[in-house]
Parts: sequence; C-alpha cells; structure tokens
Amino acid sequence: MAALNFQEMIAALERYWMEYGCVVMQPYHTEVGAGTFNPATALRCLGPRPWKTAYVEPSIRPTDGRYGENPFRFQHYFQYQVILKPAPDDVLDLYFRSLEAIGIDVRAHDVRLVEDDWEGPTLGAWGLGWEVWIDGMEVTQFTYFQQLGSLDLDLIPAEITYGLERLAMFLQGKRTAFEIEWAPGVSWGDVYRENERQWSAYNFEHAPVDTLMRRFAEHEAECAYLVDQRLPLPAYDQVLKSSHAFNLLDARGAISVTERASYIARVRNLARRVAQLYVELELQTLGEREEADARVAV
Amino acid sequence: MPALLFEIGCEELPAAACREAAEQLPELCRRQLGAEPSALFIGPRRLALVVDNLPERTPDEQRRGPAERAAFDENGNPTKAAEGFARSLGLAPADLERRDGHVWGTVPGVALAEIAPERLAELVRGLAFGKSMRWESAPIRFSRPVRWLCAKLDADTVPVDVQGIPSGGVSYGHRFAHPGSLEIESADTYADRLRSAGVEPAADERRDAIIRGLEAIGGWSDPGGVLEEVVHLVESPVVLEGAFDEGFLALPERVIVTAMQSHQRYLPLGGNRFAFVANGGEAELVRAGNERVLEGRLEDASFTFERDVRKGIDGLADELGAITFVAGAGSMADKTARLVRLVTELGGGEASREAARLAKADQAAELVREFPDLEGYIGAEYAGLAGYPQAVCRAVEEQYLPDSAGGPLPETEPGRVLAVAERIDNLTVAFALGERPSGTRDPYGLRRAAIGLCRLALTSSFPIDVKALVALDHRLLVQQGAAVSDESPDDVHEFVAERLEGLLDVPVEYVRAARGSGLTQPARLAELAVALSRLPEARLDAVHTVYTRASRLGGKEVGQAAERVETGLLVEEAEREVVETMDRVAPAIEAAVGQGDFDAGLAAAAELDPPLERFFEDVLVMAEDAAVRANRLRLLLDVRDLVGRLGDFSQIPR
Repeated sequence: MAALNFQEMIAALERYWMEYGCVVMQPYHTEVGAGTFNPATALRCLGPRPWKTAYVEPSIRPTDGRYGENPFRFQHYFQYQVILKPAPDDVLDLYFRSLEAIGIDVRAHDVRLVEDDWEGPTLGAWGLGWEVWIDGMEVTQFTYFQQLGSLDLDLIPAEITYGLERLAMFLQGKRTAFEIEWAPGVSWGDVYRENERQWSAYNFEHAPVDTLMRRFAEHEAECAYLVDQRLPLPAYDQVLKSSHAFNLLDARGAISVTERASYIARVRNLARRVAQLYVELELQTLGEREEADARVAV
Repeated sequence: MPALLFEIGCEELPAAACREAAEQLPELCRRQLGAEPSALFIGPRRLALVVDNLPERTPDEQRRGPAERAAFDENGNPTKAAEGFARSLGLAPADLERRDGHVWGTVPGVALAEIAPERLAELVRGLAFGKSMRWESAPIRFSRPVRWLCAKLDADTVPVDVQGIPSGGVSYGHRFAHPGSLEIESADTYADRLRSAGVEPAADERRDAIIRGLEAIGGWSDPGGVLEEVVHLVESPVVLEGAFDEGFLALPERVIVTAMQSHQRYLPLGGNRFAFVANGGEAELVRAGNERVLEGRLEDASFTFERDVRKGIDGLADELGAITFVAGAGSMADKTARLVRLVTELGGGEASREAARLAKADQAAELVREFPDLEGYIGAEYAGLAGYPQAVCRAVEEQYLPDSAGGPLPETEPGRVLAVAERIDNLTVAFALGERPSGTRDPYGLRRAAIGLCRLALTSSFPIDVKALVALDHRLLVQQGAAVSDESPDDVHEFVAERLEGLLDVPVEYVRAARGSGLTQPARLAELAVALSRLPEARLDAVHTVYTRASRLGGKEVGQAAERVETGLLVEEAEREVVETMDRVAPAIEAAVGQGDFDAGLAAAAELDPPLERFFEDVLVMAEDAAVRANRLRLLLDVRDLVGRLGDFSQIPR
C-alpha cells in the first residue's frame, strides 16, 4: 500500500478519533501558537466535566518563520490535537492504534516515548509527558496536563498533539516538509512555500509595531471588561489576540528584555481570570442541571 | 525462606526518575519488609525488586514500659500503668518481663505474607520524585502513571492494594514485540520470563549490551554523556550504525556532534558515521529512518549556521542589548561592557579586550539558542570566519574554562584573563542579587565558578585581587542601573578564598590561618598558607606565641584600649622595647607581605617574641592607671594586627 498523502492522513486520524467517540472540532477562528490554545482544549480541560475532542489546528508562530528558505522551520504549520479528559488507563494504546490507523506498523519501527515536560507560561499551564519518536523522528507531543490558567485540574486530561508535517515526512519517507505530498501531484511546498515567504516578510519586517502595542493594550482592557460582564468565552478570544500581538511584537524585535517577562505575565494574568470565571460558571451550570434533574426525579 | 518479587509497572519513566527510584528502593525495602533486596530491576516501564530470602516473619520487638517501681504496687500487683502498657501491646500484665529496672513487653513479629500487601502498597507510596504528576485513576503522585503491580511470594500472588491500580501475578513484555500480558510464575523466574518477552529488566545488563554493541562497531565516543540516559530509554537495546551525506562535514565538527547527541542521543563514530540504540523494529527500516532524521537536523543546522555567519560576529554582538543576562542585572550588552572593563583592570591587552567585546556575541546566535552547549565554541568559529586574529578566537572559546573541577584551564593569556573576568562577574552579580549558594542549593554553579577562579589564580602570572575586582564590577552594575544594593558584596572574596581549602595540598588549618590575613589575592593566600605550613617548628612557635598572647589579652579588652600608643605613657623598659622592635619589623613585614615574601615576613615577626616575652614577665598590662592600661592594651592590639597581616594564628592548633 502506498503511504497516505497529507490530506488522507488527516482524514484517517479524523475517522479514527471520531470512531473512538471524540467530538471532532474545527480549527479555531483566530491565531493560536498551538492546538492547546484553542478553547476546545484550554477551557474545556477546566472544570469537572468529561470531554473528548479531536481537531486540526494551524499553529502560528511568527518568530519561527524563515521565508520558506529553511524547509524545517515555518511560522505556520499544522497540528492534530486530541484531548481525552479524563485520560483513560489505556490512552497510550489508543494512541499507538491511531498510528496503525494511518499505516504505521509499530512492530516494524522503533517507537519510543522520550521524556518531555511541557510548560506554557502565557497560559499558566504545565504537564508531564513525552515526545513520541518513530525511528528517531519526533512525531507527537503527549502531555498529561496538571495545570491550566494557573488552576490545578479536576480531571487529568491527556493531550495528544501530532505534528502533522513530521508525521507525514515519516510516513512518506520525505526529508523535508516541502516534499510532502499533500494531494496527488501537489506538494506541501506547492501549497505553503510562498505563504511562508510573504508571512515571514510581514512578521519580521512589516507588522506595525505601534499599532500592535496599542492593540495589545486594547485586547487586555477588553478581556478585563468581558470578565466583569461574566462572559469568559469572548474574554478568552481577547487573551488569544493579545497573545498573538505579543508574538508579532516579539518577531519584530520590539520587546525589550525587561518588558518581555511583564508581557508574558500580563497574558497569564488574563488567562487566569478567564479560567477562574469559566470554572465558576461551569459549576453553576452543573448545579442548576442537578437541581433540575432532582425535580424531574421527584 | 520464600522469595519475593515486586514490580511496579509504569508508563515510560524518565531516566532521572529511574535513578531516583534505584536510590530509594533499597531503603524502602528495608523499612517495609525488614529485608535487603537481592536484585533491583530498573527501567523505563518497570521498577522491580527481588528479595531472595524473605524472612517468614518480621522480627519480634522488645518494647520498654514504665519503671518497675511504677509498674507494681507494694503487694507486687500490676498497677494501672502496667496494665495500660500491656494492653497497648495486646498483652496481659502477666506477659511482662522485668529487666534493668523497667518492665518489658515482647511484640511478636508478624507473618510477612500477611502484611506484604499493605507494606508493598506503602513502598509504592514511599517513592518520591523530583517531578511528579497526578492522573485520573489513582490517588497517588508518581513520575508517570503506574499501570500495574505484580507481586509474587514464591509461586503465590500477593494482592497489593493501591487504589485504582490493578494488582496480580501478571506483568507485560516489550510494548510492541510482545503485546499482551505475561504470567509471572514465581519470583525467581521473573527476570528470565521478561527476557523471553523481549525485555532486559536489569539496567546493568542493558548497559553492558549497549557497550558490547558499540565496541563491536568500534571508534565510538560519547562527549555529551548520553549513554546513561539511553540505558533507560530502551528495554530491548539493539545497537545500530548509520551514516549521513558527507556534504554535511563542512559544518564545524562540534555542531555535527551536538546535533547527533543533544536531541537524538546518537553516538558519533567519527566522519559521517554514527551509532544509535534502538528499542526494536526492523533494523533496515529503523536505520533508514534515523539517517533521514539526522540529515534533516544537519540540514537545518546548516541553514541556521549560515544565517548566523551572514550576520557575522559583530552583527550578533549588536543584538546583545535584547538578551537578558540575569533578571535584575541587565542585558548581555551590559555584561559585555563589564567584561571589557574587568579585563582592562586585569591588565589584559588588545586581544583580551577584543575577546571580551565579542565574548557573549554568540548568545545572539540562533545556533546557540538551539544548542546551548555550543556557546564559546561557536563564537570562536564565527570570530574566525569574520577574520579576527587567532588569539581573540581562542580567548572567546576558552572563557568557560575550566568547566569542571579537574577540567583543563585556558591555554592562552587572553583566554585566562577573560575566564577570570567572566567568573568575577558571575559571582558578583549573583551575590549582589542575594543569590548566595546555601547548603546543596547552588543554581548558578557558583561553587564551581569560585573553584575555577582559584585554579586560574593559582596558575596565572598576573595578579587577581578578587575583592578589588568585585568592588569594581559592583560599581559598574550600579552605574548600569542594575537592581542591586549600593553595598559591594564583600563576601564574594571570602567565598572564593574558602574554596582554597579543598584545592591546596596543605592542612586546612594553615589555609584558614592564611585567610585570616586579609589578603585578597587567592594566589597570595595560597603562598602564605604554604609558607605557614612549611615554617620550622621553632619559628612557628615564636610567631604563634606572639600572636596568641597579644590577641588573647588585647582582644578581650578592646573596649578599654587607647586609640593609639602614646610614647609618653610607656613607663617600663620592656614595653619600650616592644615598641622599638615593632618600629623595626613593621616595615619589613609590610614590605614582605607586599612582595609575597612570606618567609621574610614571618622571620621579622618572630623577632617580636623575645621582647614580648619580657613584656609579659615585667609589665602589668591591667595597670591601676587607666591611661597606662589603655596604652598597653593598644600596644598588644597593634602587635596582634601587625602579626595578623601574616595570618590568624589562632586557627593553627598548638
């Protein structure tokens, strides 16, 4: 059997996790640095309600762009994100079977779990886990979240983040992402190389520093306002937008040494307030539902 | 006696957690079972121990109760105290024995088979990891989730009750080669059973197998020390060999080696070949995959290298203002400015100053951000490519030497000067920010820095005055607006001097005595310590007597001493003689200390012995007349301080 191309691989992952019982979501509508930041992970992992989801997420990291010259570094690439909350005892076996579902014979290859502890300072988040290697290629980040939004988690989720380009490179035996076959006759490079060139130029040379600084402060203020209005979901979008503004400013080299830590702390602070409010409303909703259930039972 | 096996089955543990468990398990085994483990099996998916001869019962324990007098009344009947004590041990008063004026009860040991389930559960809970996590099913913390427990007492399965973790007589073999459960028949067949399922459970066996494999290939090296981690990354080690495109050999050698080792944990074989340790799979497929990954990493490194080279070392140096050195102590550009000033103060020439200016430039290099181990080395490469003289490049590379206790020192003079400045600045900044090492806590590696500084000082031809350099560096920090106090951290000098105790081949009391001299150059301190230790017994006695007699009496009554010795108040011949001798030897001592001719200084100090001897015979220090008394006390203190220039002799036991 020929190796799956990029889109077939994604489709196979979608099918696998859908059949397992995940809610298959779609990429979020604003820039995120990783699938973790999508509220389907960052917020849904909070609180006492179980949750299973899977989705593709474009990962936007302005400082990582290289104008499409270096075929190993991009400011835009794809992750496949799976959240199982709480993590079932056989979560690793589930994951290994997903590799089989896209055509990887785990017995023929050298599949390894190598210690990798994850920390997201802007999100106030950390967890322990691994990077998964296949024949030396890191294809997945696997994390048991312990904290999000600076809050200890009630149910410990497993986060499985497949690096789709790396996975496809392994699957198709390609050395660079540009060579990956996306669809028959169309490579990843055909689809995204020019994108890398133009966005790198924007991120490093043209993103408007003064405007971004103003926007950062505006998003921050709007987030605080929305928290006061007890609207954590729109408030969280402002966290993401301020975080992206910070990333662009960083790529522009516009953030000094001393400012850097304070920007990160400001975003983390917003994330914490949103997370607290989100959990509070979750508990309230659950309480009301239990009361309603109790009435029905009577 | 029965044999016990206990296996804690885990999801893949980090190597550090394996080491922590290996350290703790013997003690936990002793504490919970009263027995020594005969074997430990430590690896990524299991922590196991076997006790070959487990005692049937825990030993009987003797417990001491109340005093005999309190335990029995005058009629010889047990008191309430005796009854309570007996009851607390589950005994009757009649069971108590009398010995050594007390009553004693014997608590019989318990059958280990009975308590093993509970004790083994305690053992699991007793393991503590530097980093631990929670997971859903079990209410314990562990390095990674525990997924099964397997305990056998001979052929019997011992159920171990840790909530949420299945326990039984079942283990699991190699994750992929032998999926499914594995019945363990008995403790003594455990290891062989696992080996039949593709797992080598003993870390030592895995290490030996890996080294045998590497030796069979030959020519391997492990400069980054990844082997110990690799031992705990595999359960079924297979050593394989790979090669990459020779075109990548154009990269500096250490870039290639670091790309191999830092992330991939490969072992360089020289040239374009490398070895790696797989955990299974089909050799050809696994080799091809690893070769492709390494070539990708090297290609990526080439891009990064070329980007850095295009910016050039000077371009990189220009970016240092945007990189923090340590929070509170400004940027790398600030640090660079301090280094340039310090090497100038140290008498460094053109090459030293140029090297100091470029020393931290590679902190802005992408390659160093990727591979921090390349700092210094890659800066030197970039400086060379930009056409800087060899002396400058060497100094940039050598600034981090020595990087370990016995590690090599810089070979060039500019390298030495820069290495000294680098350490002075690291120590000053840390101390000024209140980050002194305490106990085992030394996050900035300051002890190592201080030891390195001592070694540099002991072998350099130029003077290194730690106290003055720290004061200068601190002034620069204050000028740069760093968040430090206005007081120079004087204790840096003490901290550095203290390291000499472990470095010099001189009994420690002589080093301590020398440190009391107030000398601020480690090299001079070392010379003084050596001079003191080699002093002929008679001379040491003489100086020691002068110092201790003067300081004992003078030191006790400092408050009463005059501000300075008044010649007019010197009544006795003996005290005048002391002053005259002082006047004669003081310049000699000063000069000797200044030149580091400590033998001459000590000879001069010894001349004070006879007059001081007479002084103590003829003169009553604590005279009636307060002014005379104060004058005499001051005289003694002056003697102490003068001789004290050659050390604190009270540190040398006589």
